[in-house]
Amino acid sequence: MILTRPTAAKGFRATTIWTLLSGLLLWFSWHTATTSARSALSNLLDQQLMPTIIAEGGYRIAQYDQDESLLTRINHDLQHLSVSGVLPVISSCSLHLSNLHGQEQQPAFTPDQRITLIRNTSEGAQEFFFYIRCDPHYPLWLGSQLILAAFATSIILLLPMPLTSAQRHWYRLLQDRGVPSIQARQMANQVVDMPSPARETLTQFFDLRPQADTHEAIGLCEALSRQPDMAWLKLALTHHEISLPEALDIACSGDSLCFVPEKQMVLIHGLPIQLPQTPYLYYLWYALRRIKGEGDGWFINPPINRPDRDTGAEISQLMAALDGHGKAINDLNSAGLKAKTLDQNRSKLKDELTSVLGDELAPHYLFEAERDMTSGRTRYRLYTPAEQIKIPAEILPSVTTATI
Amino acid sequence: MNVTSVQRTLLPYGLMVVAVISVMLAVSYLINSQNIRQLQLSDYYSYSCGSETEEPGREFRILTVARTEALSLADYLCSNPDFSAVYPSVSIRWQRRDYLTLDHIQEQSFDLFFNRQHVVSGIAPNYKLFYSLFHDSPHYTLEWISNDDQPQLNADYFSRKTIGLLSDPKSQSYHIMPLDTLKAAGIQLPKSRIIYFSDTYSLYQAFNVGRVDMIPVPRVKSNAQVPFRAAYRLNISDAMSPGSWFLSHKVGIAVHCDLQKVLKLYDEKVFDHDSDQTDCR
Repeated sequence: MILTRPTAAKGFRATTIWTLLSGLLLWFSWHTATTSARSALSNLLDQQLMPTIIAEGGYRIAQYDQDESLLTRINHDLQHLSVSGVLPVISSCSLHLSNLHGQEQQPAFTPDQRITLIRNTSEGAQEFFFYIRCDPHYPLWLGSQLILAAFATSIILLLPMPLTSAQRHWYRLLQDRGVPSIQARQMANQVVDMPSPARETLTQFFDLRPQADTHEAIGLCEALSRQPDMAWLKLALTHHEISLPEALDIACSGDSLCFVPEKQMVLIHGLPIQLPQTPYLYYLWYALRRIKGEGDGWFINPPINRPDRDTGAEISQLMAALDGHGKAINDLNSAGLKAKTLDQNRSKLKDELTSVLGDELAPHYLFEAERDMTSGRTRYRLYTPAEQIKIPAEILPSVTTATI
Repeated sequence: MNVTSVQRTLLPYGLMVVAVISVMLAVSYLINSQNIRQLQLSDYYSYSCGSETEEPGREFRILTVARTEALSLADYLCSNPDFSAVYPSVSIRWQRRDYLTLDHIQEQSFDLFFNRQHVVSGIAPNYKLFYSLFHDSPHYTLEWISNDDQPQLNADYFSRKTIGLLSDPKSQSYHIMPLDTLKAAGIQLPKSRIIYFSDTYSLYQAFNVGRVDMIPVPRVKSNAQVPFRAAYRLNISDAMSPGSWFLSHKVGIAVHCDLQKVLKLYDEKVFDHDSDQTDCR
């Protein structure tokens, strides 16, 4: 029902957010894990190990000894430390005391961090440097953080995106017409993505039809997403007697010229146009010629000094069959078809159609003219192709018979 | 559309995104915090040998004051088949003299311990109810050593010197005896001329780097390994008593000779002088 943004763009957005959040989480979780492990270790060393090296009084526990193996034995004990946590992302940590009573030992691993503990002795403060290295439990660490990032990503994607001011404009317009908030939001997103003629049409619609209700507004938005002919839609909307669905039908139907003789009406592109009686009949006569394909629908204007009696009779017959104006029928019967009469009626049709359809849409339903090489006179035919013209079946045979 | 129409009202949305990320980080913080319950540390001031035994009274427990030769003392007992038949396991612990408490003596926590008689009497006047004096260590010589010149026991000489001592007032060699001899000779040193150290390592280091001019050093074999650059020595006393070995009444007479032999061997390794002859062969 509602136009969705392209799936690819959504996928890209989701992947980007997920990647960024994963990076952030991996860094943050490792930082948290190692910092907390370091702090726990620092406390344990302070409480457990240091009292076994330096007594409270500030002297070495082995007051009379220089124990060369002490540092090695301590480091052996600190080599593998098991770490626990709600999520044990660290598989193990190694610690290394680098200096003790003048002895120094470099760690066998590349340290990540260092802990410095200080003990006061009678000779002053003594510093003890511990190097730490922790190794992650890769499957657990990567897995948990990527899943957490995916979870956060999905929540972020579910958050309603902020509306642009253009979107807000449409959102309010739609809401004012009673469209429910969520739907109005989605529709507003859609409307700003429409080509500008469609948006103009909508604007026009809201201007022209201030009383339009929810369904009409929704219908129009949906119809607009089917890309109707905007020029025709605009035109149809200016006719207040035409309902929105009718206007949409007009805009969505193709080029057509449909005659409804009993009402002296044509439906052009579905738009009903009432015409004066005589020009209407001349219009119908030209249309019949176009359908029958006589001379490709062309008709050469009769010479000015010599009216065409045969054609005059043909037209008068058509007029008589369709309750034409008595005077017009008489004139045709008595004087034949004059060039002037034809010119006047075509001109009248042009005025009528142009006034309704405008300069851009009307010509397709008017006449084209060219010079006839043999006679030197001008010939005319309906511009509309035969297949776009529709005439009621009951007229076609009668006319055909009459012509024959 | 003008530019302002595409500017998004980011604040509420931004706040929501920040809130989601904050919750995510808080969760991450909670689940990723690690803990370490306890360090598994060995006892750095004890040594055991022989076969481990759970049987009470089958482990021979020794307490001494220094690590020097302590390990070989235990190993020697462990390698003695007669002794091992009675005590399959031997443990030895080395701690300062003030480690010993009345409880240790009353409970007979150690089968054999080393200390000075007056210290033991001070802690437990009736110690003889539980222990007997088993073996006296030979006397040793205590000397002043100097880096610069031959030390002399007179006020004039000492007036130009800074001396280094241990801060431990229970230390006979490094605290009591040197101060006693100075007092007896009528030598008054201002407080600034005496620097107290917390252990022998610091004391020796200070002497070697010239921070102090003189220190007292026992002339014992174990000290022979300490490299002093000083050549000048002055006798403080030839009759310094390091202490005695006390044996628990619980220890059967069958192992007395083995113990005497091992302590004599120990004395030979540690002290310059030999200990008294024993009847044991």
